[in-house]
Amino acid sequence: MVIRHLCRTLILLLALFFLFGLRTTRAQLTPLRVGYLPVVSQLPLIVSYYKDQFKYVSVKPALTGYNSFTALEAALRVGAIDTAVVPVPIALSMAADNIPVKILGYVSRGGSLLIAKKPGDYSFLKEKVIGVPGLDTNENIFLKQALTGKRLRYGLDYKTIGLPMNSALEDLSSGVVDALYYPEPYGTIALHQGKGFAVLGQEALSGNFLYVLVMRDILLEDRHLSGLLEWLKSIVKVCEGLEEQGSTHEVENTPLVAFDKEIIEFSLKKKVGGIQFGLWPINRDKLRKNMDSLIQLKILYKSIALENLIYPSPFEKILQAEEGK
Amino acid sequence: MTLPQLQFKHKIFVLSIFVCVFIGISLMSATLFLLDRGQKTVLEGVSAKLQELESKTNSEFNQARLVASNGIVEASGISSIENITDITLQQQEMYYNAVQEKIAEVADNVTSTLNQQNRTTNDSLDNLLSVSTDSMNRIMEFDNASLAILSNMASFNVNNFKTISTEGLKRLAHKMELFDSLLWKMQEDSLDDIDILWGEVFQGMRPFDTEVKRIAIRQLESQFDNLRINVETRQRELFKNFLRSFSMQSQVIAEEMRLLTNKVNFAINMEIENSTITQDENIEKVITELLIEKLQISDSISVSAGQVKKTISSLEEKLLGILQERSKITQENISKHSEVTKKLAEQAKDKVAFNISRSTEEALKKIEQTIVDSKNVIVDEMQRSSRQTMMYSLLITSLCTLAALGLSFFIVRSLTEPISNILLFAEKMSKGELSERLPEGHDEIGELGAALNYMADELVKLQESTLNSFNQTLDQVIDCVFVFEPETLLFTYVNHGVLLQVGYDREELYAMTPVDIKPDFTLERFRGMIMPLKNGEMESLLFTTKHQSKEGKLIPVEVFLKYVVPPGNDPRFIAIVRDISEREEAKREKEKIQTHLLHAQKLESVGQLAAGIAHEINTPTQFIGTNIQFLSEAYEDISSIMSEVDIVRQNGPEDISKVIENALLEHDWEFLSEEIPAAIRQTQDGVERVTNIVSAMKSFSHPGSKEMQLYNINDVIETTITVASNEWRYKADIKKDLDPTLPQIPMLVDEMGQVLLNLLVNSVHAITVKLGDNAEGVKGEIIITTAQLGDQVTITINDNGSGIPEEARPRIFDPFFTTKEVGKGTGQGLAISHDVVTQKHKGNMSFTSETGKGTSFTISLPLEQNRE
Repeated sequence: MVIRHLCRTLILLLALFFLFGLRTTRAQLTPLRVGYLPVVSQLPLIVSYYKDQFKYVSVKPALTGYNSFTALEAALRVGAIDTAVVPVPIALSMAADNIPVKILGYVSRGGSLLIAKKPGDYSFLKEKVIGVPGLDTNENIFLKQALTGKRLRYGLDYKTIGLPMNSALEDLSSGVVDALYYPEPYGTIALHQGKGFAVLGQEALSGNFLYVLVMRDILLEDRHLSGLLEWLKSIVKVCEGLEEQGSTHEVENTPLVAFDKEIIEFSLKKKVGGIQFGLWPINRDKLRKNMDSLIQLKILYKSIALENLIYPSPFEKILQAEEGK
Repeated sequence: MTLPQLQFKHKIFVLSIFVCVFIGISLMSATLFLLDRGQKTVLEGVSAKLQELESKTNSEFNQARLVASNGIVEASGISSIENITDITLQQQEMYYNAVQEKIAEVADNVTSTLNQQNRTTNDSLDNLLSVSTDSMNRIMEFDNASLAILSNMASFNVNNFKTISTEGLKRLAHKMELFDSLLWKMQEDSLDDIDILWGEVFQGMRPFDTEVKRIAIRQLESQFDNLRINVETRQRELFKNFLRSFSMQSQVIAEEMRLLTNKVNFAINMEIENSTITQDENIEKVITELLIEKLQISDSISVSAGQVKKTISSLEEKLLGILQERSKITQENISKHSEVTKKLAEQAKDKVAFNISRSTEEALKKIEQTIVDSKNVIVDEMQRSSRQTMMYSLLITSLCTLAALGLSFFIVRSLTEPISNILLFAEKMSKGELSERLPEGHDEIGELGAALNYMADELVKLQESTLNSFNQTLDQVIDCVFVFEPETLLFTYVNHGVLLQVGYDREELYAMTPVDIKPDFTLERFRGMIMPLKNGEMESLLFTTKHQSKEGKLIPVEVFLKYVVPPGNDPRFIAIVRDISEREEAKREKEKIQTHLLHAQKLESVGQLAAGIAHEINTPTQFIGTNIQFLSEAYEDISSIMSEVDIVRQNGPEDISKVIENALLEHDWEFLSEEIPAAIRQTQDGVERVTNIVSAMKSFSHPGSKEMQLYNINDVIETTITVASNEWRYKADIKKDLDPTLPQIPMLVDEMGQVLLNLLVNSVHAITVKLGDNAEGVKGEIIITTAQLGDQVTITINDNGSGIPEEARPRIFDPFFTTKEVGKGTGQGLAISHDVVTQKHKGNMSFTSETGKGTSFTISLPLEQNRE
């Protein structure tokens, strides 16, 4: 009886020690706090977390959702999150304020759709108000460039206004704005609900680099490199899955907040807004032009030394490894 | 000179008629006058000569009158003169008709030209009105769009702030729930598992009869200690994470609000800038279109003036030609008829001479001479009359031309002067000078003047409305908006928020500068600070300072200063000032809350420490209890053995009895046999007390059930008294008057225990305050009473401490209110207690207090709880 008790006790103790020992090992993983917005272009961050959260060996991501780019920016600025995909202007604005962040590259391109209350081309937009996710987003910048080519002057022949995501569709249907240039799936939802029509001839707006992956400096130290690369590999894998034509299995079993699965599938299958997923290194010329536009619009009040802001090596390592395959 | 206020077209029509009538009447009058005068002169001259001839003829040809009467009559030239008169009249009539025809032609041309001018001017004025109205509508449309944007921006701003707050709070709540559940689950699971495991191990290894077992149990005990330390460490880590996360989320919300405020300010500034540019462009368009209209009207008037001048010149040339032609014809006719008359006269002379050749030779010469004189007189008179007619015609024509030119000039001037005034007025309007007004009337110019005056009034109203809208919009902004001049620094605009903040009215503020309300600045320092903005070295400036209100109150503010140069307007400084008193207060409040959280965390840690200590004590206490029990039983065995030994001592061999007796005496067995059982009993009592205290501490620090359970309040009081014994033991005596017949009542046992502990500790503190140093060791008194009154159970805790100060009594249930010195009280005890009793138990909590004599708290709890 005593021996049986003793054996059972020892087994329990061994189990406990094994458990605590494992926990100690896991505590040494690189903690990576990821912030995201519930939009299609940020699916790689969300899907990779839910697919690989129990498979990581060097990194321990934690996912936190936000409701606006401003909230994401605030969280990055105060250090509540370590990494996020944000609009290029916000990344540059943070750098101008000496926030310790670096731009790693792009994980998506395109993915925003211009819709209007009435069917037609750009001419409908004259003397209209257009909603964008924020004046400091590339949606606003690229829309300005496209409409300037159509002889519509920014702020004079049409106006843009930053709308919060929770009211954008309601603002379109209630007439607060006449058009919406917004990240997916909002455009698809508007089309499905009959609230708007895709503006004809918006090819120039399709497939632009709208957002960049930024990361706080501390996560780029050598001791976190293996964890960072592991996380980026997971992102690459998810991007490849999302890029497969007609394949939406990547987003299955992923709790995408508040959106119907059919809407997401439609947006992905039709590649609405020219959405593409993958890892692209930063195009410095485009980024510099982007910066010049922001300074011209007074969104950015000084020029940024891009050499200090861009940190390409993790992307280069991943891309080289991919090429090696 | 001003024309009566008629329609413009009527005015031109009247003037045209006036010109035509004037010219016609003038020409007709002059012609008639000259003709009449020539006729009279000719008739007078001829009559005089004929009378002279008649008298001479009568006197000289008296004798030959009968013979030559017919010849004399023929020779007198009366028929020829009649012929000449007829010719002259005929020529005059023809001349009159020609002049009348040309004048009518000229009048038609002038009328046509003026009508065309009238139509052109009307069209131009209509265009001008249309252009002005369209432009005004465009300006108003764009302004409305701008106002809509600003209004929507304000709405989105509120929505965003709401979203930020809601989302932030959701994230906080989510984190709190997560950590709370994780913490308690871990604590319960870990400690329970360890306790159960340790109990099983301990029980399983008993008895410790071998060295191996003893070594094993010591090692196991050490491992379990490590386990408990690990658990506690992880709990502390969890708490730290929780606090870090809480703090981080607060920072995210604050940063998000700051970013959003900046972005909204940026959007509003951009919209105001765009709206200004749009209005400038529209005004420029209006000016351009007005100038085009002005040029068109000027061109049209020039063309009309040219046509009038050409017509009058043509008239002048034609009249001169007609006059010359008619004069020549008349002269030829007269010469022709004079020749005929001469021939007739010669024939008559020959005939008469034939009859009276000799008798009338001298008279014939005189007659001949007289006829020649008459002929010369007639010719001279006719020639003179012709010259005078021509001269006066030319004179009248010149006068008419001058009059027509004067009238044209007057008409042109009457047309162009009001239009020039309108253009001058429009140029002033374009420069923003809207104070002047045009004369108004019922004609087109007057109506245009009225329309432009109306437009100017509307623009002034629009400006005022826009300004009022902006002002009202800005007045809705909580922040203060100052605008001041760069040179004098005098305020030129302040919004309503400023009046609320500094207490001055607008008239007072417009005579002040920023330095007057910023006590931290001198004029030189302030100018030095804003100089980089004026020089363009900086875009904007953000700094914090203090504003001094009219009452002298200092308000901490954050100032966002920007130098703005609006197109077409004077440069100015715009300052957006935010009262950061609340932020400062919130910061202090946050620090206070963090202090309280830290304190709460410490209390929590102390509670958990107590639980840990209780557990630590429990284990050795079990050993001690078991060992004491073993010792008690062993002593009974030893006592039996000693009884046997005593029998041996009494009945055994002497040497053995001696050895035993000496041993008993040496070790004072008699004393030991009395004291050991007593010591064992005292030790058992002590261990029992320790066990009770540990049990009470453990149950007190355990999170317990979240649901109500039936429990006797007396037991809760007993537990509380035990737990707090260290607090009251040396400072007060507790008297209990607990009703043993009290029924069990539904309650949250742990929370009610916390309430009673708070009241008990407060009573002890009050007694400590009253006793002061208390060198004599005097104790206070606490009386705890329970009773059932109707459907309620009442608990009264009465002390004879210092009492609650009168001014503090209304606030003692307020959160964070405390009269204790810093670090000794959180100010939450009574607030939480009140909440537990009144909200969670639907009971009542009241107190009476007398300063210096003591306080009595009474809690009433219902026997039954509503299930809702």
